[in-house]
Amino acid sequence: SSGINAEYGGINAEYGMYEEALEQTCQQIILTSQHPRTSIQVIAQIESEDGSLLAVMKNALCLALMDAGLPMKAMFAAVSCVQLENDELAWDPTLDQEDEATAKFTIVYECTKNHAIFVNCTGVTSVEQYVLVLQKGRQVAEEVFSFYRESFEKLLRRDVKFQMLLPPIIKDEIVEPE
Amino acid sequence: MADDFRYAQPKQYQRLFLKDDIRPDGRPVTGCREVKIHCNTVSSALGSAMVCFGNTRVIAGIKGRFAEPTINNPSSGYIIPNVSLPGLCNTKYRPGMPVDKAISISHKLESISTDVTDLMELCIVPGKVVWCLYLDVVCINDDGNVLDAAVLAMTAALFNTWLPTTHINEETGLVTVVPGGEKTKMILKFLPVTVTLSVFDDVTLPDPCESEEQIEAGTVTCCVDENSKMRAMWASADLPDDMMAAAFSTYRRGHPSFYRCYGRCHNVTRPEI
Repeated sequence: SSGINAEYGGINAEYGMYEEALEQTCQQIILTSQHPRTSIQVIAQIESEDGSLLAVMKNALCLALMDAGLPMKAMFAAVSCVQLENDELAWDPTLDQEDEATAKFTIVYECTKNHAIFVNCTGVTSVEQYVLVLQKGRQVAEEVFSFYRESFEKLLRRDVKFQMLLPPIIKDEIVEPE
Repeated sequence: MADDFRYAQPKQYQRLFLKDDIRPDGRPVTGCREVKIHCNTVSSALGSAMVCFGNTRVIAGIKGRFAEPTINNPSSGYIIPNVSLPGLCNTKYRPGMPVDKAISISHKLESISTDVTDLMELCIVPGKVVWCLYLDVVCINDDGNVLDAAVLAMTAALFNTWLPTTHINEETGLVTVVPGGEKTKMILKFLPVTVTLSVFDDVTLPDPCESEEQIEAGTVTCCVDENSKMRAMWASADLPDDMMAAAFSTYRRGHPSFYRCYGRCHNVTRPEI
């Protein structure tokens, strides 16, 4: 089950849709058979909003699930894009860009086969544009995956158990010739 | 005996049928159920429609109220969709707070309805009074694919909405409906058609019924208009790109039959006052 707490205000139909979105991704990704007769509750608290809300929520969800140590089928990264007036695409839009957009896309990719596991697209667009966004979005998702890797490496570096497993940090030392 | 097997192993049951390219209710793998639309079913509403997708039955009704416009859009009215999935439509729904599914379908209807109608039409006095249309969608029987039926019902109801003329009293500023006056029809910018595919074992099945919805791995819903422009897409399924492309060809094949249904709605006469 999932709940979304807004920055302010009460129940919002849009948040109901986001709740269902988080729940759908959780159901696809979490290996629930490992935890029978258990309820996993996901709460998202929106601290501040400036566009790409659903994508950011999904990325936070992935990191939270990894932090909780829940068994997952794959990691996932969300990418957000808007189609502007002249059919141009703007990635990771701000609230202003979203307001003047003719179409908005949020796509979540999983890391094993790079399939799109969740798509939310609204506005006037064509199938060709959608296919283009789907393909380009993979490259943007790669950046999100590398961010996950970096942040986890930083976190684990502080833990003695994992220091052995991580690649050593090579400091660039200028060796003076003797 | 077949029933026992169906309850014990629903996925295996489905697979046995799919091996012969057929679905348990006798449809071909890419077949949709028969669609029936009845317009003006609710006489007290400004516009209404009932849609039947096989056994799934959804009624949409539009009630108009006067309201103050929002500060951001002083000369447009608004449409407030509310989908209710009551206990009577399916035993899985309990009384109480609306289910997540109902809220999510309401939100999807809201995003489509703001695109379909020109909200400026609903303005009476800019900045002061506008029409606020409450679009109530009630599912009477949930046999799968409520979203598609709800979108079709919403569009048919909006298509058959006749807004009464209003009279503004200059002294008091009160707006009233003229009882015997002319009615204006709502104009829709396009006719949306949504097709939902349920993903099961690398096969996409359009228009899932309830038993197929229980065992599905995910859904893909696409909303297109008459010019084959994509209006919305909601997918939560693990799909490779080529399956997505195959799914689109199903949508393109599916929607002529929907437009035939809309065509039948065109010949509805103006309702008696």
